[in-house]
Amino acid sequence: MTSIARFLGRFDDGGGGTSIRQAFQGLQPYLLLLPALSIIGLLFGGGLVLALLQSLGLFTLLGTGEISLEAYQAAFSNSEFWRSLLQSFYIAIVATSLSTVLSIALALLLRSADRWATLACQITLPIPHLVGVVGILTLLAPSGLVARVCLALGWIQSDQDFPLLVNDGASLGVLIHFLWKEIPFITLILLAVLRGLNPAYEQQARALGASPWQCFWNVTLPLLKPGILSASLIVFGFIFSSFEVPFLLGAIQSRTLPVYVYRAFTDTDLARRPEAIALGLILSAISIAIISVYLWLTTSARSQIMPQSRIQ
Amino acid sequence: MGYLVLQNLTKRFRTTLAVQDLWLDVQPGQILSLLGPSGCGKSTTLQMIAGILQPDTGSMELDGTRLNPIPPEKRDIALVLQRGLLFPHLSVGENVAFGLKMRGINRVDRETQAQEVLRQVQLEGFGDRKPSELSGGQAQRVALARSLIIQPKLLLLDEPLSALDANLREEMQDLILRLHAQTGVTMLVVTHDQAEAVVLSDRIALMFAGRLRQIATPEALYQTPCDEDTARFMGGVNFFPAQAQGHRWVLATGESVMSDRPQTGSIQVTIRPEQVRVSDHPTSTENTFAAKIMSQRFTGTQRRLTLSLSSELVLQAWVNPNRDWAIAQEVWVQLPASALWSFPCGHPADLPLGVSG
Amino acid sequence: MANDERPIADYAPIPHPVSLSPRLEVGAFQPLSYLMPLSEPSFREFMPPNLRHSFIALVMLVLLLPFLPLLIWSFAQGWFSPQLVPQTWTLEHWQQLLMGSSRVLEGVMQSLAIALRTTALSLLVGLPAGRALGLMDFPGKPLLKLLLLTPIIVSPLATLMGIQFVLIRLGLSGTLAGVVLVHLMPTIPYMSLVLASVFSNFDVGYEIQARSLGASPLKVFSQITLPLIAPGIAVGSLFAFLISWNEFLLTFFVGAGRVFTLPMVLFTLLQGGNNGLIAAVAITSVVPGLIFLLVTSKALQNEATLGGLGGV
Repeated sequence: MTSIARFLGRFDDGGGGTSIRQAFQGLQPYLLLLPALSIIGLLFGGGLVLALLQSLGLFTLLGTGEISLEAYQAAFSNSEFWRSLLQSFYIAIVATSLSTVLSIALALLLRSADRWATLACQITLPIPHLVGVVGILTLLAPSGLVARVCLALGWIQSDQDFPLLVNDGASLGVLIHFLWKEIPFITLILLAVLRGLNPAYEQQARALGASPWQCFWNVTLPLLKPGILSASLIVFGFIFSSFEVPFLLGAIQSRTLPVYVYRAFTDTDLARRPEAIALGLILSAISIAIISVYLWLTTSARSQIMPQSRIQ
Repeated sequence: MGYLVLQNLTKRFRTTLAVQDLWLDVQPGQILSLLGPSGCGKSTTLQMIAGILQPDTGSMELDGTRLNPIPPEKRDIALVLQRGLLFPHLSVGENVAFGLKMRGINRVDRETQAQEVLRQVQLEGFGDRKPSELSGGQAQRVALARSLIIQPKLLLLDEPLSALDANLREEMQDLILRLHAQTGVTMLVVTHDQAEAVVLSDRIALMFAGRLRQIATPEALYQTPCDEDTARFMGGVNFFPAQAQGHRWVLATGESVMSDRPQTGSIQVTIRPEQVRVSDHPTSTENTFAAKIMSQRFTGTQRRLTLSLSSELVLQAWVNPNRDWAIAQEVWVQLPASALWSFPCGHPADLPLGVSG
Repeated sequence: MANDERPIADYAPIPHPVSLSPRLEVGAFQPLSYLMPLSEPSFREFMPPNLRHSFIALVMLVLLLPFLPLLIWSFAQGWFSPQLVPQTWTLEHWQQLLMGSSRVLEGVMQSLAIALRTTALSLLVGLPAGRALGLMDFPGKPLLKLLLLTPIIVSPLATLMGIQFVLIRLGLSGTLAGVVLVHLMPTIPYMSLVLASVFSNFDVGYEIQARSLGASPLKVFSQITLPLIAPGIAVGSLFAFLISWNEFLLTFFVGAGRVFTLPMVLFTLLQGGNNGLIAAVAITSVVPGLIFLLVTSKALQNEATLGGLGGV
């Protein structure tokens, strides 16, 4: 209603400029989106395009200036690339699924809780990942607090006996960090969706004879599905692309893809630069592919549930 | 020339023609209802008058001033939406004084005037409350107060009573009529409820599918509707095909009635159920027929009888509620000549616009 | 609700059922609640209140756990395994923090400067975007929404590598402006999402009423729209601020060592071994975020604000 033209106080007659006005009104949403989209498009999209060009051999410092796929060939032929890809998937899938399931439980737990309890469970939200990493290191490292407590309790003999949780092969430290950070995030979103649900649906289910579990499984969960899907999508994308956490908490021998890309980019051998950029693009392409598949699989679920589930 | 004049108003939304060639003429101080089923374009018309939507063609004039180029906030027209929509972040008093604030009236004067208007709608002392603390009826009253305080030239009410409980509706009707008597403001009410329109309005403009069908006093719409759609919308139920030979109309089922209004050719005869007279013995020789009671229903204010004549013609009569009737009871019905009304048979769209009253 | 012939204005808005103050209607949906006091599946039925509360307390404890060693470290003069508590306590780490040589104060100031600018800019750009996404329906909407969200789902590594030389060319590399610019990439999507969510629960009827009562479009925006979407603005700003405050990778790439934010300070310190100072700095990084979170906590509780995040 408050179109930009009206903000500026411009008004025209119902007579002459009708088609222009109608066209303008039709354009309104696009104009409103323009600033945001153009910044994102220019920065992000532009960056990707430039990266693509560089990976193909143009604009580079040492390149010949001709288009070539050398960088990509080098990237794909390196076995470490595949290993790191696998590692990224492993971490992202495990961390996302675990945190999603636990978040659902936590959201249900907090559904009827008061403001302070809810707030307390979201305490990790504003914490930078770096700080989280430091905290986990000091907590779970072999010389960390938990190990010392175990030592004091006599559960282990020396700090060598404490299971390796950080910088370990299974990336447990990384997983723990992501659980610690992302569960409150997903819970926040799910709680909001949960509290916005029309209670009449669940009341109706109970009135028709559903037990609390059946009601949850058959009514609440499906209604939550769109929220679960979006939240986990955001989290998956984030974990897959995360750099600082695996860099600091992961083991040297099991790098994730972003860490591998970073290493390639900061390699002193500048000739590796296009390969690094190619790797970065491959990383982005994989993320985009995953999102597309995710969305394609979930579109139907979303369109069914969303319009009616809110409080009327 | 009227106070509010609409001419040739048309509005199209993408593929649908919401309002077609509408014209309207409201006298100062009148209450006019825009009546019609959902989707007939009445709310769209209201929004065009208020300035929220721009018509594709046509002009609107208020008190001689052409409205089209004027933005909504300068039109001196107050719109009260169906949902009341009191600003939740402002108190009741601030809500009421909002229009004055926009006009730059200072705080002291605003508050005094707001209190005065709240008194008029019987919500004295409510100024400090929050909208969330009010009931539906109270909120609606505040919404009215909020619009009247700016003394608009025209007050537009979009379905003011449909969100209220039945008993509140009566109160609100009284309030609207009382406020109208006090202020004399010209009002345009949009509603889909014909009973509501009939109670509130001086004149009713009936719309179907974006076009104006008939504009008349409530009485005229009941007694002399321009076509069958209109009659049905106003609650009419008795419709019989017949052949007219002057004052004598022969129904398809065989009965012959005498009417006040001569017609010729094929017609559709109608009589309002309230006008049908039912008695144990025939009370007159004119238009009187033997009938049997098929069913009766008590509605509190009436007794609704379904009667069947010997020719199997079925008639509905709404009579005095005090008397009980038995099923299959044999009675006599009389159809007063003055109450018989007819339409030419044919497609309603072929009929000229009936304008009366 | 009748009136299905309308859109209220000349674009086609999404029919929205809820205004921000639906109290008047709330009584309507509890018809069966007298039959079943516990109608919504939550752990209220599975667990007695005490168990539930202890569970929540447990969750809170686990979330807060990594802070414990950090806190202790920041006051410790050397705290070696297997000691459970440091032998000597000291304030020297905190004192060092305040000294210029540790560059911590510089980091705080830089981070603050960047975060505030980023928040303001993303708000400016996100408001119209959120309005379009939340209130209007138009062809291409899902695609545009997805485009808007790509920066938070896809890794920015490739993009950064791509635009690095452009930024150098434009003289933005290593400047505050350059860092703010790239910080806009992750903040605009979140800001737009939150604002879209708030707008989708906003009843345009309020604006119409205000116009009808004599308010110009500008007055409508400042007196009616803004107060009613204030919770959304608060939450969106919270997210934007936090993202910018905690951002490491983007600043690392574009700052070229000259823009020294708090995460950079932390990262540099992590290469060394002064655990006490690291802990002190880590704790400092967290404080502004926590304050901001507390201040906006009320707004976070409003399900209207966040429910839409579940509708990506």
